[in-house]
Amino acid sequence: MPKYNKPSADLVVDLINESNPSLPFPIETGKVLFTGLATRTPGEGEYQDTQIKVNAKNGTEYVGNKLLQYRRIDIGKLFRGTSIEIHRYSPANTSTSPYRLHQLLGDINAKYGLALTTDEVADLSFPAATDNYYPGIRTSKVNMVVASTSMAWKGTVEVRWVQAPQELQNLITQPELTGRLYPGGNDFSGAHPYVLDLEAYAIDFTETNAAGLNATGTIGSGIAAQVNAQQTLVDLLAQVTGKAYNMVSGNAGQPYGLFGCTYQKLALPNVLVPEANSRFYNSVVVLTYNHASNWGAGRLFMHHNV
Amino acid sequence: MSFQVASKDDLVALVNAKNSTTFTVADFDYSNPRVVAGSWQEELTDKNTAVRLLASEASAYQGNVVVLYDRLSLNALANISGWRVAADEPATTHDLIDAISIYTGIRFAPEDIEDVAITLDENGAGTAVISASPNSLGWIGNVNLPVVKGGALLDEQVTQPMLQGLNYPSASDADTYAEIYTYGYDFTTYTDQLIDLVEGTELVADDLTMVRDMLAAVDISSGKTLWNTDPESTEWSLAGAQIVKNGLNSASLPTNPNYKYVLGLQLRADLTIPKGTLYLHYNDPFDPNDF
Repeated sequence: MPKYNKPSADLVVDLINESNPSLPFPIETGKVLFTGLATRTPGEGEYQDTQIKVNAKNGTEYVGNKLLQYRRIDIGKLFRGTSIEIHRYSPANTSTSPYRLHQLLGDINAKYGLALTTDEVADLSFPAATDNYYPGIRTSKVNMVVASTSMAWKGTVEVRWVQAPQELQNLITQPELTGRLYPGGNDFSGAHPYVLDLEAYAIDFTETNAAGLNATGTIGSGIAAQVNAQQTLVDLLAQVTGKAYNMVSGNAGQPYGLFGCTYQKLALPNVLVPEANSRFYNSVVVLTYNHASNWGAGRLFMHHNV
Repeated sequence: MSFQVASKDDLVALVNAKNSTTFTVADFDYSNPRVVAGSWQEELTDKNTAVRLLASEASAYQGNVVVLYDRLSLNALANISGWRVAADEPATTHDLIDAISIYTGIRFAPEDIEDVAITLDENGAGTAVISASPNSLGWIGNVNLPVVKGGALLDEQVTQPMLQGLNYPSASDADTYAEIYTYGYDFTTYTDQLIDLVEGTELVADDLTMVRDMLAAVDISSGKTLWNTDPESTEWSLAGAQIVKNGLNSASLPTNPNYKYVLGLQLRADLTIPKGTLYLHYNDPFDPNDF
């Protein structure tokens, strides 16, 4: 069986070579120009319905021209009994055309082994997808009409479009994702900021005055009662961890110096900080280490019950 | 007048144009041309050639006359686009006269140019030196002519202009073609079952019903509800189908290259719809864990 997935000019060039096996040089598509494509009436015992003149281009092995006769394939006959269906997602509204034919030509060629170009078929709009060919699925059809200028094809065949689910590939066009990071970055091979996130997570701060803190604040700032409440928190942190956590203003930016860091007090469970939700506690103070120095990174979770 | 016509034709045309005469080439005998520079017989002239035209015996004329004109320098041809020829292994420059005429229209006579050997490379390409004979009536000088292999006349070489095709999959253009019918179908869902069918055997028994069911499930076209296993039926019957191919797809088959495997079922010869060989395409089953 012949193969049809070649450009029309190539199909005709192959045909010339096959019918003329003794050519001194094979005809090549790039070295000839076809002109004067016309229909002809096949004579007695003939089926060749087309004529065309093949002209040698300058600088090739050939010179001159020759009038040829051959048959164009009727696409309707080739696909007799076969339904051409393209399943593809369309965002178009139900009452409007989902596609123009040229937009689906690549799909048609790939699925059915053709190589039709946009010059060879009329670019019709599919009608609104309401023909209900498959109940519950949007479908519509057009007649694909081959242009009279096609060298290898003629005729008409029905093409149906069927709404298909949206392609993930078309939605996720940025498959390279960024942002899954440890506080301070993922490179621990050299100097890395001290990561605070795990430091206080399991410590119970209920006995401090965390409950007295405002909803938001800055360590070392506020009225005396607030600063005192902050101090009880920091003191417990230092005691339990055995590290020199402090809120001395002169130590801001130094190791364990929390002066100037901001915090939020949040009731748990909380969608804003699902990572702080706990089956043991109903409140948390989330302190963010945001000093410009490079000593620390991340957040302290100070759980407590109120 | 044209530099492309034969030297004598052009010379006589020049005479006729200037003198309102109707001489033909055969009316004259021609002397050898004589180089002229600046003056001729004490008259100033810018022409480069003199030739004596003698009334030929066959003509109705008598006597002779010397005319002055310009022979063209071959060297100038190097400046004209299209000054090249393709020819099939010419030995000497005279072998190129016909090719030059075909490609450029310039009609050199053998007496216009020297007959010199041509050296060509293994591809049949090279450069020929075209030199005017001293006695050429139309030309002086010399020029390099690029030569490539070729020059075959399409009109002579294409002896079968009535081309055999383009062809439908069968000899008739009124069939439903099995090869086309399943070209766009994907049977990967059934790879495990299909891969075990044995090439070179007839499709029988459970395998026959299995393939019938697969077709009924995948088919969206006119035969969807018609596939059967009835050996008496001449339409859409798989009974008697031969497994002519099962395994890796191949570029030599008329199959869909998007698939790795293909099952070829040559349908019973007396089947009228569809006709030919059904190709069921399938791939390895998709494994989401295989990247």
